[in-house]
Amino acid sequence: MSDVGVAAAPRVQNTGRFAGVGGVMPWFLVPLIMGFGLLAMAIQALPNDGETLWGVLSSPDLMRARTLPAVAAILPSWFTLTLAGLAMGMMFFLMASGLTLVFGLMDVINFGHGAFVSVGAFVGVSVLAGLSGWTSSPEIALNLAAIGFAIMAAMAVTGAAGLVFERVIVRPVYGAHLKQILVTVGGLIIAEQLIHVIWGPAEIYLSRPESLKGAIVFKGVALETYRLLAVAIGVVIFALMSLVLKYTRIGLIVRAGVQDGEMVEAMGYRLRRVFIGVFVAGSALAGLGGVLWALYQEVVTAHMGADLMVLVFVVVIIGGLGSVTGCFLGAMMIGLVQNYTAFVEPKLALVSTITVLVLVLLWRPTGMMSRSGGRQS
Amino acid sequence: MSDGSGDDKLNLRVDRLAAAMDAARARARGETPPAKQTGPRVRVSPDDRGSTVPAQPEDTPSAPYDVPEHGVVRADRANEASDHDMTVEPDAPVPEERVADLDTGPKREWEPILSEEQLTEDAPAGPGPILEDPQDADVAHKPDTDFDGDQPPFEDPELGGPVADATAPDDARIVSPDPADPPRDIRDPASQFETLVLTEVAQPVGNDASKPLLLTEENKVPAQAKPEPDFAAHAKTDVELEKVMLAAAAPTVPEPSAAYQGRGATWQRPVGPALLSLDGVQTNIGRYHILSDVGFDVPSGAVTMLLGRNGVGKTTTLRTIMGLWHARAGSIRFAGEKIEHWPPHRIARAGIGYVPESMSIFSDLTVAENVTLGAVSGPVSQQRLDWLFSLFPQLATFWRVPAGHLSGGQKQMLALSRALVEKRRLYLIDEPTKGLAPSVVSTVVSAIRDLKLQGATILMVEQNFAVARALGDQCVVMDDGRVTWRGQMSDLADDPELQTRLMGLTGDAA
Repeated sequence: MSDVGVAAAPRVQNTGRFAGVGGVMPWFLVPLIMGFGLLAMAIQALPNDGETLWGVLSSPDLMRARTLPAVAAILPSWFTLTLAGLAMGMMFFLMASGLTLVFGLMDVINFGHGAFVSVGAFVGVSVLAGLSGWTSSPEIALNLAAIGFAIMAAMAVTGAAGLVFERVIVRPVYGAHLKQILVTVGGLIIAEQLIHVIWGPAEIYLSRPESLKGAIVFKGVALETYRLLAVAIGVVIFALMSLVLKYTRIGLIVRAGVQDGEMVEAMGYRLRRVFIGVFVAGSALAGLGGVLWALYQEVVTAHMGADLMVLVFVVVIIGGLGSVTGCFLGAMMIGLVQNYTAFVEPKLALVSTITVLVLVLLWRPTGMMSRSGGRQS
Repeated sequence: MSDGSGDDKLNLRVDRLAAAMDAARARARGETPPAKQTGPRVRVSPDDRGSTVPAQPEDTPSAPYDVPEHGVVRADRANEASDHDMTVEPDAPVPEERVADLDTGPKREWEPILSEEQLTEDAPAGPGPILEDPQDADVAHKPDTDFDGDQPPFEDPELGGPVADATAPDDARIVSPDPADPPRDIRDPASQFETLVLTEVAQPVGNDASKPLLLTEENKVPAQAKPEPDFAAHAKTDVELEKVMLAAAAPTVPEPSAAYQGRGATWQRPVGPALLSLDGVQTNIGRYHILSDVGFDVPSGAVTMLLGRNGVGKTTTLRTIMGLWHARAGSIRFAGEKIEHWPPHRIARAGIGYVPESMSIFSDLTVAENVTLGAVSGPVSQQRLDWLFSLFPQLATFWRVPAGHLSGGQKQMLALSRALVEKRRLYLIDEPTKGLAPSVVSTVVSAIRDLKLQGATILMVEQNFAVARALGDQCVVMDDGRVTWRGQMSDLADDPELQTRLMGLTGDAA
C-alpha cells in the first residue's frame, strides 16, 4: 500500500537506517578489529611480574605509567600477528570467493568446495617436489617461478575438476538444497578418497622455497616474506575480481544473476553458461588457495579442505551470500580475530570465530553485504 | 499509509456494492441513473453531520462536494458545468480562454492531491466531503457505477470490490480542487484515473495532434442537452477525449502517421499477420493446472490486451510465452518458429522483450547498469537512450543511483526502459500500471503509447480497464485458464454487458 505514496512523490528513498553509510560500514570493521587486537594485547602486557591485571587496571597511576611501555612492547608482535591474520584472511578469501558466487548465482550450496582446496594443494605440492631444483635455489626468481608453476598447475587441475564436478554432481540437483548438501558432501568424500588413491594416505611435508623461508626485519618488526607474498596475491586477485565484476559485461551479468537469475535469463543471457564459468573459476581459485595454504602450513593432508570448509563457510555467511566484497572483508576479519585470540588467549581461538559470526548476524542477519533485493519470484 | 481503518474500508466496499446494485436496479426500471459522484466516501456518524461545511457557491465548476442531501442535484449541476466546459463543438476552434483555463487551473489546483497529507487516510474530514450515511446510501451513493449510465462497474484488482470505471473528464471537473478536501482513496483505480485525466487536462489542448481525433462524428454531441444529459453520447465523447488526452500526455509522441490523420478513433489500425500465436497451451505450476486451454494470436503492429480477473492465468500466460514456465501441451509460435520448448534466453534473443509484473529490477546495480544489461546484442545506442530519457526524464536524473533506491514508479519506468532499450519484435508487458500513482500511470501509459505509435507489437496485461481501452487494439479475455473472448478492443469497450459478462461484477457477486 505504501508503494502508492512513494510513487506519488518521486524521490530517492532511504532504504534503511544505514542507507548512507551502510554500504561501507563493513570496511571499517577490519581496522576496528585491528584496534581491538592491539587493545587486548596491550592490556595483557600491562602487569609486570608479580602484579595482577586487575591490580593495574584498578590503579590509575599504574595505568598511566604502564600504558605506553606496554603498547611499545607489544607493537612488533601486533604487526607480525596482523600480517599473519591478513595472509590467512587472503587464503580464506581465495577459497571462499568461488563458493559465494556459486551460491549467489544459482543457489547451489556446494559442500564439496573443500575438495578443490585439497586437490589444489596436492597438485601444487607435487609440482613443487618436481621442481625441487628451483625451490632449493637461493635465487628468488626461480623460487617464485616454481610457485607460479605450482599455482598454475593446481588451478588448471582444479578448474577441470570443477567442470566435471558441476556436470556430474551439481547439475542433477539444481533447485533441491537438501539433495545438494548430500550429494556435494558425497563428492567431497570421493575426492578425498581419490587423493588417498593417488598420493597415498600419509601426510606430505614440504618446505617453502629458500627465499620465502625467512622474515624481513623492519625496525624491529619481523615480517615473514611468505605472508607478504600471500597478502600480495590475495590483494591482486581481489582487485582483479572486483574490476571484472564492476567493469565487464560478464561481471554485470554475474552481479545481476546473483540478484535475479530468472530475469537475466528472460533478458536473453545464458545464465547456465555464465554459471559454469563461475563454477570453474571458483574451483580454480580454491585450488590456488590450497597451494598457498599448503605452503603456509608446510604440510598437506587429504582432509585439509574439509577442515577448512568450516571457516570458509563462516566467511561466506558473514560476508553475505553472493557478495565478493563481503567475502573479502569477512575473510580478513576471521583471519585477524583468529590470530589475535591465539596470541592473547589460545583457548578462545576456536570460539572467537563463532563469536564474530554471531555478532555479525545479530547486526545483519543476511550477512554484511548480502544482496539487498533478493529474489522476487 | 496506515491500515487503521479496516472496518471503514470494508464498509466502504459494501456500500459500493450496494450502490452498484441499486444503480443496476434503477437501470432495469428504466430510470435515468444518477450521475456519478467522485471523491472518497467518508463515513461519518449521524452526529457528525451537523459539522460539515455548507455548499460552495454554485457557479464554480470546480465546487467541492456537497452535503449528501444535495448530492444528486449537485452532480447534475456539475454535469451542466462540464458539458459546457468540455464538449467540443465540431466546427468551432477551441477558444483561447479555455486553453488558458485548462492549462493553468487544474494543474496547479490538483497537485496537492498527492501530498502526504492527502494520502493519509486518517486525515480529518475537510470541508464538504461526500458524506455517507447508511440511510442515505440510496440517494447519495449510487453513482459509483458511472457516468454513462449503463457501463458496468469494473472490478478493482486491489480491493476486489466493484468500483467505478471513472474515466470521464467531466466528472473530474466536479471534484473539489480544495487541497483541504478529505483524502481520496488513491488505491482505488477509479479515483486514480480521475486524477490521471485531470493532470492531463492541463496539456492536451495545445497539442495539434489531438485535433483530428477530436473532430470526429462521435464528438458532435449537442452541447445544450442540459437538463437530461444524453449519457450514451456522453460516454462516447469521453472515450474520445480520453484517447486524445492520452495521446497528448506524451510530449514526444510523434505526429500520427498520414494514415491516422482525419480518421475517427473507431478506425482500426491496420494489423499484420500473427507474430505470436498460442494454440491450446496448457501450463502446470506444481500440480496445479493454471492454464488449461489458451489460444490466441498477437497480430504484428498492434497492441493486444490480455484481460481478465485476478488469478485467471494472465501472468502465467506471459511467463509461458517467455519460457519461464514450460507449457505442458499446446504450441507457441513466434515468427513462424515453435518456441514452446526453447529456453528463456533463446526466446528473448529471438526478439521478445519482457517486463514482468514484479519488475525484477536488479536493485544493487545502478540504473545505468540495469539499462545496459537490457541491451543484449551490444552497446546501448545513444539515439535509443535519448528517446528513453525523453520518455522518463527521471532515469537520467538517477542514472548513477542504485536501482534499489528508486521509488516504485521509477522502478517501473526502469523496467520498461530495460525492455525498450533495444528494438524488439514483440514486447510482453505485465501490468505496468500496477500500484502506481496516477501521475506515474500517465507517464507509463504515454510511453507505451509512444512505443505503439512507432509500430511496435505489444502483448500487455492490464487490470485498469481505462488504460486497456486507451491503448489496446485487440483484446483477449481470459477466465480460469482459458481464453473466453477474442476481438477488437473497441467492441469490448463499447459493450458494457460484454464487459460485465467477461470480467465484471457478476462473477464475484454471485
